[in-house]
Amino acid sequence: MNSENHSDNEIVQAVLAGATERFGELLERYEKLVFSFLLSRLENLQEVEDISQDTFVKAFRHLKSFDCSRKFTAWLLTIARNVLIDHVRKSSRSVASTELVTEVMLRESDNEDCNPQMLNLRRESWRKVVNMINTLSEEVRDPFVMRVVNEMSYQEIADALELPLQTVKNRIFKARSLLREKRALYEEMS
Amino acid sequence: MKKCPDKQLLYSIDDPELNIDDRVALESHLQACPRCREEVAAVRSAEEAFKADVNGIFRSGEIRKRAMNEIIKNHSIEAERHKKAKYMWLWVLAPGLAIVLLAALFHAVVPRQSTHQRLVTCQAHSDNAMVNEKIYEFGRMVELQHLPVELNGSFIFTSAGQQAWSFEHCGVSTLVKAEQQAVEFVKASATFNLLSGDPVTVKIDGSNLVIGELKPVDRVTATSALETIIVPAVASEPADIIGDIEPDQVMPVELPVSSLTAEAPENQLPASETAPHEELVNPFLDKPLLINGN
Repeated sequence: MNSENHSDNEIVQAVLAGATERFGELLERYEKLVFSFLLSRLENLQEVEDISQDTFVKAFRHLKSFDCSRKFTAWLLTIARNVLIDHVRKSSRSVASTELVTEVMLRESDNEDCNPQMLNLRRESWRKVVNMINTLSEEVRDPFVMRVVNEMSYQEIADALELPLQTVKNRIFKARSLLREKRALYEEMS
Repeated sequence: MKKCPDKQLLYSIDDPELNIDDRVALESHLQACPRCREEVAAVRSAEEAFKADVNGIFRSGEIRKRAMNEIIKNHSIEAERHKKAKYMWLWVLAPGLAIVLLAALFHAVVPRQSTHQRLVTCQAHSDNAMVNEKIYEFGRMVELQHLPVELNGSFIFTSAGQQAWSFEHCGVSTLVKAEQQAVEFVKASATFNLLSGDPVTVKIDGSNLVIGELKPVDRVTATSALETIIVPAVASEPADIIGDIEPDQVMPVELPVSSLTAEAPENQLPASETAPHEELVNPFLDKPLLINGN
């Protein structure tokens, strides 16, 4: 049976039964969700990846406390939120500027991908994402990012954010409107 | 659909959740309405661009790889810790066990000596007994750990081991050894009387002395068997008749020891506390004691 057919709860039970490696399946499913969830809250790519990683490590450590009657995504995002709060408290730093983020990316690229073209593309993408996210109000960011980036259904988003379905729909519509305006403005300017 | 739909419906053109009737109506409207077509295209473009940008910075598998490495590392550390914790009780108990073993060993070896020493005890048997020139009251045990000790007076030596005996020491001597098999005195000028048990051989200035004669000893006779106790004279008349008695007018009177009891105070009885001197006569002296106690 393909792992894609297994529900989150089934995988959780398997991990709890000792199949640690199967936690990788949950990571595969939700790494982008956690990444994009944190993306709308941090402006430092390195921090986004670090906190995403910490979120999964913490989720694994506390997997026993997961209530199977709850959605795994909702539980995971709660952990991500808590890890983020802890991180912000510890670092007590102000949100980084786009320039700083670019610098971070440059430094990390020294050790990894040294292709300058790729680096420039990534840097440009990051700048656009930060700019776009900044146009969205906080409450509409999460549903919109989940919808567009993670291609989640309205119901899945409602479950993950523990919001009413209609609220999710309204927020996504609001985000699209804002993005549409911003896009038009951006195109006019460029 | 002739009228332009509201934007919420228009923007949801790509949503899989849109019901089929709305989708058909929307699509037919879009074919006819270039404004709405342009609006939908702009939203699609914005969303696609945003998605592409996020995908451009998202390194698929990177977080999974890092997190799984961390999880497996932590998991193996945790497993190792559990393994260690499994045997941790040994480390916790080991010092305790070692202490118990040492204590058992100590009790097995050392007490034999101390018990051996403790088998012989020495107890002051008069109120004016002296040990190293210090007065030991009646009944006080003499410590025999640090010998020699100088004894002066009456002392009872007792052995409670396999050889049970008890003898009395009266006089002056220096006790140099007090073990069950060997009690030794030097510079002795004393008498030794067996009180109970087997005959005891003690060493006096290097020579053996067998103490074999049983002699009962009680406290009063032991303290002052050969002494006369001096008590002040007791007035036979009330003080107001004979006048005050001056201390130098008190005349000593010799009383036999047997007339005193062990509970009586020493030999200083104040005149005011004594009863008037009367000849004591036993009223029942000439009457036979009946079987019922009367």
